[in-house]
Amino acid sequence: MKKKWSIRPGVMVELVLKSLFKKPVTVKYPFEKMEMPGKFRGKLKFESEKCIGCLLCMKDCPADAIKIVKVGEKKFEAQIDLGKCVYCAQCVDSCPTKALAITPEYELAQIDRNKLKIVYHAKPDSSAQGKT
Amino acid sequence: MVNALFIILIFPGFLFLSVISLFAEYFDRKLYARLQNRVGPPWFQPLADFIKLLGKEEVVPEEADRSMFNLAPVFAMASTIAAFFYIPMWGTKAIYSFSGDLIVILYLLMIPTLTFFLGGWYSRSLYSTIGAVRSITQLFAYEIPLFISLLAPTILAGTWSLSELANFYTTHPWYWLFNLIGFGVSLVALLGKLERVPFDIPEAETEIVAGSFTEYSGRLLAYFRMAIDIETVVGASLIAAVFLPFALNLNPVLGFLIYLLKIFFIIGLLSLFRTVFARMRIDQMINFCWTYVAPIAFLQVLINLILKGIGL
Amino acid sequence: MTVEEKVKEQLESRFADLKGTVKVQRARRLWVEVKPENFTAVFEYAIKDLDFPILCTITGIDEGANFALIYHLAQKTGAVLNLKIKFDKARAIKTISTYFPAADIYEREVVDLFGIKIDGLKPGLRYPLPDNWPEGQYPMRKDWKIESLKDYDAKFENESLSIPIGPKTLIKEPTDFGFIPGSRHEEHEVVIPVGPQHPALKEPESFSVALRGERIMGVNIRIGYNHRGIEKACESQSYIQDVYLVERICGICSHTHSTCFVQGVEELAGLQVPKRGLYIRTLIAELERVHSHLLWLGVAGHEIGFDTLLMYTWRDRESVMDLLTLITGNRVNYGINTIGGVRRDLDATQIPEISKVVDKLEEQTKYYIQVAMEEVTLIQRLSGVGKLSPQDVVRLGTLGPTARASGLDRDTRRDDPYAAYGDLSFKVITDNHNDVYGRTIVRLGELMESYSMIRQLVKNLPDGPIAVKAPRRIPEGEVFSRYEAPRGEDVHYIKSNGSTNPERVKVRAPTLANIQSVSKMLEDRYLADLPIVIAAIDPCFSCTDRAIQIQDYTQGTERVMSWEDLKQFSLDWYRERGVDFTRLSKVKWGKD
Repeated sequence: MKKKWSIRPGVMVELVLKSLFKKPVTVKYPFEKMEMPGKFRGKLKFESEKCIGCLLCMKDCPADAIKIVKVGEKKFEAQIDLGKCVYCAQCVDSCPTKALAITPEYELAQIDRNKLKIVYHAKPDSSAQGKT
Repeated sequence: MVNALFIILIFPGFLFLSVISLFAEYFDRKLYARLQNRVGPPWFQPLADFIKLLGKEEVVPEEADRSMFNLAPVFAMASTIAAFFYIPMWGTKAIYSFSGDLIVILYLLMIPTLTFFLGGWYSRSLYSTIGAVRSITQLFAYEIPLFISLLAPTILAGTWSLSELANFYTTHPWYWLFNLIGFGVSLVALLGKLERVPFDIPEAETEIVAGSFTEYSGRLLAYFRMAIDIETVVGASLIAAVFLPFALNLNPVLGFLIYLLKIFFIIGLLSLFRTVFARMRIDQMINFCWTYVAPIAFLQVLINLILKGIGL
Repeated sequence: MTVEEKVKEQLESRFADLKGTVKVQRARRLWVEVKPENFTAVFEYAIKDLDFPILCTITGIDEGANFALIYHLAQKTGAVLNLKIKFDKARAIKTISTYFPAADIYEREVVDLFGIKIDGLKPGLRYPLPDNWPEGQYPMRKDWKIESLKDYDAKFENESLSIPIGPKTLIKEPTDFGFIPGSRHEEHEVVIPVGPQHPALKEPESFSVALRGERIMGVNIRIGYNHRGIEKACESQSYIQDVYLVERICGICSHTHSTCFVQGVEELAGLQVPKRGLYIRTLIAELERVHSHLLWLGVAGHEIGFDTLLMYTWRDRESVMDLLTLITGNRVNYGINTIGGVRRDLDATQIPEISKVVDKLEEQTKYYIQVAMEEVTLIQRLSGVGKLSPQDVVRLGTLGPTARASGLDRDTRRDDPYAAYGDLSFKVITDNHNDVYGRTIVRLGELMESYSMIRQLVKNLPDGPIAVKAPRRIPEGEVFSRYEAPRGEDVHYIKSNGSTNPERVKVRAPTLANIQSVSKMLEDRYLADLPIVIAAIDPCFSCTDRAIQIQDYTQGTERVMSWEDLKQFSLDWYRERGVDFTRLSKVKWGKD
């Protein structure tokens, strides 16, 4: 039971005055950016040479955000709608060949909704291109 | 004539007061933020807010009384600027002074509260009405202690003219130390007049949206906010002139700097109060003012009477 | 003989036709199906003689040919009895709000969403559908499709098309404040709307407050604005997709819903989650409790005008959020649960980080406790406000810290242990102040207990796998899963029919149970106390309204709208009233 005299107004005064001499905790975005830890669930990445076209990722996606399209013999491309994606990474867990991976990129905002639909093309021969 | 216009519009009238009060708002908000470990706005933020509001559309509610609605902010600004002319800033002479001008200043400073009430009442909106009524109710609580504590030092000086009061205290150095209790009381009462936490009940954002100012927008809201800022500076200057009347008769530049230091010290104290207290409820506030604040103000008067009686 | 077996024996001996039908599913779970004619007798026997004084919720199910209602009753010591009645679609059921006043809102939900007829309900505002919901549309029925609303014209009757000014023209003015006729409360002077949009509210809800001066004479509460149709959506997605859908019921208690759901599914599938997985789940649960209570402290400070407390508590909350990002990969909606365990493991570098954060937070929380005990303006604003006597708490069915502040000693973590709580030792904090100040003390105490629990979990973390493989088809059955969310008890009822999609998912969030106590708490108080009283139950309307079936009072239809339809609906509604948003923005929003 607190002593009666210690109930006073302005209890926070000492903490508040000490804060005057400390650096503010605000992160001045966009001039300072926060680094996300490596396992942060940001944008999806697709490696088409590993994909076998089982469509398990499509089946398990809660938001219908990913579509795997066959473009050739054993060649698949992924169409991902970043607007629909909820960044749960269930597709990453469901994929049996680890063709999907999650990156910590989080600055994905666009003004035009169509720019949110990205396509990871199948590699024609050597280099994969991801188009935004 | 030209001289009077210069005084009213430029210095120390509208332009000078606007600049100082915008800077005072910046100082208050920046200090408030730093006390809370945040960054706070840049120096031009109050000016930017004012200009932005001037450019917004004014929406007058359909059921509101147009003339009162439009005039209330203007009166608020006008009366606070008018009160400033009677307050000595440096040197012991204000721009205009006459016997009894302290009462006139207090009266002029009461007009903004009335305009908040009228503006809210004539907005005919639920939230505004409640805010307006709370404004007037709060008036009953802090106005008496403010009056009494501001008039206590005049007992020693024997005059009700602010300039002569400043003169008296300059010729009798260290006498202002007797009035420190009154200083504390007047700071608390000023919190009520300016509607700042813990007495910001009329404008409690989480309860009644914005109180009297709910229906105001555009130019009129800009004037109201500017009126509150100017009232802060004028109130702080008044308290500085009555309770901290030292180092007045120096050369103008140094005197001006000391004046600025005094009012920013008082505004800093007000910001500190804003940071460490929660908002009180209206019944608690009235109880508190009449149980503690008013008796202490009377105590200050008693002390001064006794001192006068002993022949100081 | 265990408690459940004893209950089974008593029921079967008392009611001859129940012989052999009472199932003991596992410890603390009993299921029995009763004929509608015998229902009242069995119900009364259960709540009076068998000592089941708590009503968790009422679930409605559409079984095609008939409806079913399940009444979930619980004992103080954690056992749950699920009473099911099946009846024809046209039959009327008697209300049980004479036994449990708290059942009122659960019955309204069932009436609105299924069209079940319940006799004896007080006439009042509907929940959760809006007033202009069309007649005859019951969204939660299995045969209801979204296309039935295509040609619906959502205008109020006698409504003109001019843009309404003020709140009165948009909602029907509430007339029922629950006044006792002839009491002085009837002389209210003005009705002031607090909500749906108001600076005091974090989520939309409508409180119509009848005032006389500054005193509140009565409050009329309307919720349902955040209804998104999640229960119906769950039925059309597979279990693994539902884990993420259910998680997004709420932002602050996302792990609550996710764990409660996953626990239920694991029980149906007979999966045994490895110990390490359970410990990680519990760790995240306690971290979520910490961040939720810190958020509440800040919100309470803001509601009483004490912004400094808001800034400091939310600054401290950031360190918990960063820790959660490190462990799970996201600040809210952690996505750490999967059916059969957890998805990510704690590695050795994260454990010292957890200890560091918890130590710092404990120090800060001790400081906040000191502030709460000593700051006079805080004590003045919080004391005596929102009083709920212990009898009211039991009668109104309040849960969580709101109830524990009135001395009710009930906590699902101790009474019905789940996850790793059986291995932890902790105290259940109760208080006797009965008001908002008591709730503050309870939440601060729970924060300290959470820190101690986190330390125990980290110290005793067992090795081993973190998940077992889950089948895609979950065997048939019903399960009732309970969880102690930061706001109270959260319950999920899941029924599966052997396919990959669940048959029925019912969620009852704690705020639905707590909202009914708000009108009692606000009786005879000041308007200035309204924000803090509402904030004191820690309302999370996203949790509550998640599948509010818009219950048309008259129709009981339920409607579930997809986002596109809702957007189009609102655009059309406003366009008719002369406000055309499509001109305002040059942004392409989709298909219009």
